[in-house]
Amino acid sequence: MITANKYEKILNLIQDLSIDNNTKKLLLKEFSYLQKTVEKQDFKITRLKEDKKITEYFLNANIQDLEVSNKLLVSYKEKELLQKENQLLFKESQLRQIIDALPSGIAYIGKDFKYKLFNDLYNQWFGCPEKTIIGRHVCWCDRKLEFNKLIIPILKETFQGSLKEFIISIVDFNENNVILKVYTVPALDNNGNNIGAYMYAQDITAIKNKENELKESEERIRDVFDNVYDAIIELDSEGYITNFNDAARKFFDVDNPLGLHVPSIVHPDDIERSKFFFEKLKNEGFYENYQGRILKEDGTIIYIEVNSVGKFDKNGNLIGSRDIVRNLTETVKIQKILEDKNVELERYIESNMQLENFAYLASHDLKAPLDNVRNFSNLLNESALERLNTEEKIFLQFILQGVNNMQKTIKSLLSFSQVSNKKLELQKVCIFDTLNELKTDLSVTINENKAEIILPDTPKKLFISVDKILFRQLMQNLILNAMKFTPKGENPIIFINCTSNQQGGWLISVKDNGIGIADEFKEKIFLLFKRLHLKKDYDGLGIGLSICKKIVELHNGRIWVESEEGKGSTFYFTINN
Amino acid sequence: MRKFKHILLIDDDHASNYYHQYIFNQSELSENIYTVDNLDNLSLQLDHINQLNEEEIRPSIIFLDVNMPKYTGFEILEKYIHIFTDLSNKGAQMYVLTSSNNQRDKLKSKGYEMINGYLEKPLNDQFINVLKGIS
Repeated sequence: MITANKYEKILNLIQDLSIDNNTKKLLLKEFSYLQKTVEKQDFKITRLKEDKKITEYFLNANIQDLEVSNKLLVSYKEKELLQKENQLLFKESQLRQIIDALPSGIAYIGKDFKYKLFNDLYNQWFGCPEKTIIGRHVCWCDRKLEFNKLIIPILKETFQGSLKEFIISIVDFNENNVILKVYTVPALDNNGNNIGAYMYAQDITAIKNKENELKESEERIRDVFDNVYDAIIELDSEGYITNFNDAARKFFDVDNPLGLHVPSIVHPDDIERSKFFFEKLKNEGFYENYQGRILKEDGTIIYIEVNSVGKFDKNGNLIGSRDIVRNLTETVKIQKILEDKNVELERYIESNMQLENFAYLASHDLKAPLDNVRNFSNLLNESALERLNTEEKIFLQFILQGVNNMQKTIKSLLSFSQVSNKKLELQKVCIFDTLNELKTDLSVTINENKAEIILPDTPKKLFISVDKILFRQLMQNLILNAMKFTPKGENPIIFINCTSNQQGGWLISVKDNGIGIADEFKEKIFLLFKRLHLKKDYDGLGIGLSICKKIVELHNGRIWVESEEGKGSTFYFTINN
Repeated sequence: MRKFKHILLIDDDHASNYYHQYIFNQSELSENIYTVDNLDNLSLQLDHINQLNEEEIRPSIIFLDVNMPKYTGFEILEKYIHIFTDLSNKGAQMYVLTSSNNQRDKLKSKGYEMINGYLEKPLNDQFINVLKGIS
């Protein structure tokens, strides 16, 4: 509150001002109002005179200073705005209401950088609840440091005629953080002279926050998008890349995969399948786990797995897709290595085990003494037969039989070990010629068995890449095997067939009308020395099919049998080309 | 009086069966030795044997070969385990008698309580004497 003493002083000072009396009265009156409210430092009185001239009086009374200076500064100027009566549509109070109702903050600042006008919202942001900021310097509030720093140069430029805008974050008088976009516009008088600046501020806090949120979430997504191991690409309906992530760059090995045509790098052998998946995408909207290959320009093959989701227009037409592409090349490579190693290991173990036995059994150490047994048994059989009793004759027969069996065993063991130790000599072999030769070679056995052998319906000049000797042995074993296991009294009919398989190799089959094989033995029959029958029924050592298996495996093929007991068997094997 | 009434040989090798029959006879170990070498209707034969009364010709010793066509001795044992268990419970001794000296087979035969031993062909005098002694 202004003390009575001070009040007196100010009244005296106003009395002493050299202004017209009416104005003086008005000022005194205004001042008396003010005195009752707060310790007001400065105020303004606008007065409309009888001659329609507006005069503004600015009373700048620094009440603290009155103690020492006894000075009261009153500045005033007459704004001689000639207002035609009917042009004055709104009274100031009406305008006031309008500008206070605006959802933006508006202020007018004079060239002295002092506020001349502001609305409610502007006051909320830049003013204070109790005091007016009219007449205050724009930098009056030392809590708005950032604003204070940049506003002066901006206003200076605005006074020069430039439109400026800036974004600023402030704390309003309700302690809320507000982000404002502020425009400054030059204010001109009737003659076009600059008289100050209008400030127009918009609350963009919500927009800004949304924007930040959006940016953050976009950044997060982009981060994931760019840091995933899988290539993510977006394609248009033709298969051209329209968007991609960092991994895609690496995957396609180009800086900018934009516009790359994906269908044209699909491996030729996968085109049919990829088309099938594309149809699925069109019809079902997505596909999963497509595994295929892409063929690069330099000839390298990349194994991929793709998951795709389609994009459709409102009529349901496919307009593109988003594909997640995983590079499986390393996985496939490792898998292949593992598989090869396994096969190698198996082969090693098997051949090692078998070789150990062969080395022992098939050596001359075994053969030589056996020859002795045979020779002397034969001699005994010739010289002593008459002196032997019935029982002793049987003993001798067992000896001779046993020796005979053993010699056969040794012979086939040797042939088995020869096969398993043989170095493959691949050459182009004509299937048709080989089978015809075999038929001639086996003609005695074929005639004895009254067998019929039907050769494949393949071109006469069909060549496959095999070891000629081993392939002949393989076919011979299978044919003999087929003839052997025919029920007594029936004639063997053997069909040999040869077709190309999906892997680009050959599938060869030998079909018989024999006794067949029960399911439980379909794998065991390929084991060394495995027989299913007593010697008196079907003689043999159980080695023929083991040799077949060995030969097929040496050619990286596979051998198996399909059979129904009593109806016959079909042996199949594959030969890779 | 022979020590064992009946001996059963399960073996596909005709010569081997002949030999063992011969030495069992020579050693007067048993009254009757019979062999099962046709493995096709093994189940019927075994069933028949198992149905016999003690007084008749149920075997008191069974010799089982390992290496046979179609099924190995162990596979036969597993296939007809109920019959062998039954025979064993009725007092039959069981031996694996084989020409193979295979550690794996030896271990396998130890896994069966009913198998009294793993013997390599041919049966020697020492074992025959043991059988004589225990009987």
